[in-house]
Amino acid sequence: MKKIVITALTACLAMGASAVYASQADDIQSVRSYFKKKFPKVPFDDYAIGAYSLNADKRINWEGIREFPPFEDQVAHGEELWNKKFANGNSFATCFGDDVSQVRNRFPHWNARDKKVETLEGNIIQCQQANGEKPFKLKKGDIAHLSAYIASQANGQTINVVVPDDPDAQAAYEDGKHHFYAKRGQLNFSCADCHVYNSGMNARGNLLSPVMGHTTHFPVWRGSWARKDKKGDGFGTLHRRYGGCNKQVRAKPFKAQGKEYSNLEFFHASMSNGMKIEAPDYRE
Amino acid sequence: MKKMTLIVTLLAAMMATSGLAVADEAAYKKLHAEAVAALDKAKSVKGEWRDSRWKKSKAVKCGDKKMSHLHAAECFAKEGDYKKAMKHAGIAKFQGEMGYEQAMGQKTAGPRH
Amino acid sequence: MELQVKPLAMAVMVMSAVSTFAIPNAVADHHGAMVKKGKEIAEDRKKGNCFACHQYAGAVLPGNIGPPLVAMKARFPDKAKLRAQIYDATAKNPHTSMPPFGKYGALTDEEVDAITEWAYTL
Repeated sequence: MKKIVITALTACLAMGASAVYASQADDIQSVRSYFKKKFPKVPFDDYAIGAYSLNADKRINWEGIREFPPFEDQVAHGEELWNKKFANGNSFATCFGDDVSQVRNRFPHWNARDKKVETLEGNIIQCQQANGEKPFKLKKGDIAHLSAYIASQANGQTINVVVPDDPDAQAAYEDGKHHFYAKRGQLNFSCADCHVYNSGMNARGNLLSPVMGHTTHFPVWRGSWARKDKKGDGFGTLHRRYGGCNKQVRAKPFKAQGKEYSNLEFFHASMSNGMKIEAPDYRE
Repeated sequence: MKKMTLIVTLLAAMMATSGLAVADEAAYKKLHAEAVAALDKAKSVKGEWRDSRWKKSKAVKCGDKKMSHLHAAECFAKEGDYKKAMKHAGIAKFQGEMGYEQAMGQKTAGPRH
Repeated sequence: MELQVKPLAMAVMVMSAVSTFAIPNAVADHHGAMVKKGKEIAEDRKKGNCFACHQYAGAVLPGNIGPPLVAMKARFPDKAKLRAQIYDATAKNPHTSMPPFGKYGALTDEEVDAITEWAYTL
């Protein structure tokens, strides 16, 4: 409870806003107390490492992989992309500011002028378009490398997604929350079915991760995305993962960086408020 | 006389078959339109499923390609296989109806914790 | 007329003889085939994919989201209730994590029948 009050206070100070959106504060508290009851022995900060907080064997394996991370070259490539000048002489710093450590944690946020949720990856694309550059593909490759580099420079900072006192912003948050709790697809699963109610259980050999702490470590490098048949290099954005989840339950995925997934990210990232960024990371 | 009978019989048979084919095509087109309407309705409430008409779906094989049920219906119709075309148009329609019903049932979904 | 009745009577006799001895075997064979088909569908990841959530004897790397499939006859004295659960588990509990396999057409009615026969042997 103290932590929430502190988080709420920080948010007020940071935004100069009059009040924190009550529904968001309630949701965060409700999820925290749910997991505290479900896994009383797991310390709050451990949720940042996802499902590995719940299984000692898998945690040892994960720690081993992190000693020689499979994604370092791609993060270095992301740094090159950050430093590269556009044809017009600008660069990503023109859009995001010179201090790369102050970028990741500003997203997702509400853009009051355009009345929409902005995400880091969405603004990377916007920046390219504004500067006449050919935009990256939306889910993997360059966009994930750049996002991973930017996130890595914010490691240790505390996530604090703010829903401002604006009915449109609150509606976007509620829309994302509804997406998370509504069953969908031919297999009739909600995000919450796996990542709240059944988290800690196994779907075949896969340990279902708790929603709390999901967004601390994105973009992620996943073993299953590195397989040759996936034609990828392992890296993917948060919205790529959303699409994968929706496909698994046999729902038609929404467009990466579209309104549905951006609103979902607004709610989803809120559930990691108070946790530290530690990105990128390895996942099965 | 025998020749005459043969020709008449043949003609009658041809007319019957082409009439059947026309009837098949009409029934397929009607079902296809119903499937599209059902899927549009599901889409309007964000309730579309993966394999109904998503262009990257790999649910059904037609020729040497894999595709969604609606695309498969169109593919089989093109090949003149109206029986299979009807089957997959019917599945697409069913999925549209169920996706809509599901989304409406989930309208008030929220946390239960 | 008489000539026609005789072969018919013969045929009826032969048929009843056949049915007395052969049909129980045929039923058993049919049932065995259903169970085998049910197991195949149950273990097909694109069909039942039962072991993603349920443990049962012989399941490879099963999940544990749902209860283990054991003593099914004792748990479901009425086989129809087991079939109904596989067909649409949301009818009993709208919040269940079990997909409504039959209702949403992930499995055909015949496939639900076959899985029911297989599950009933566990």
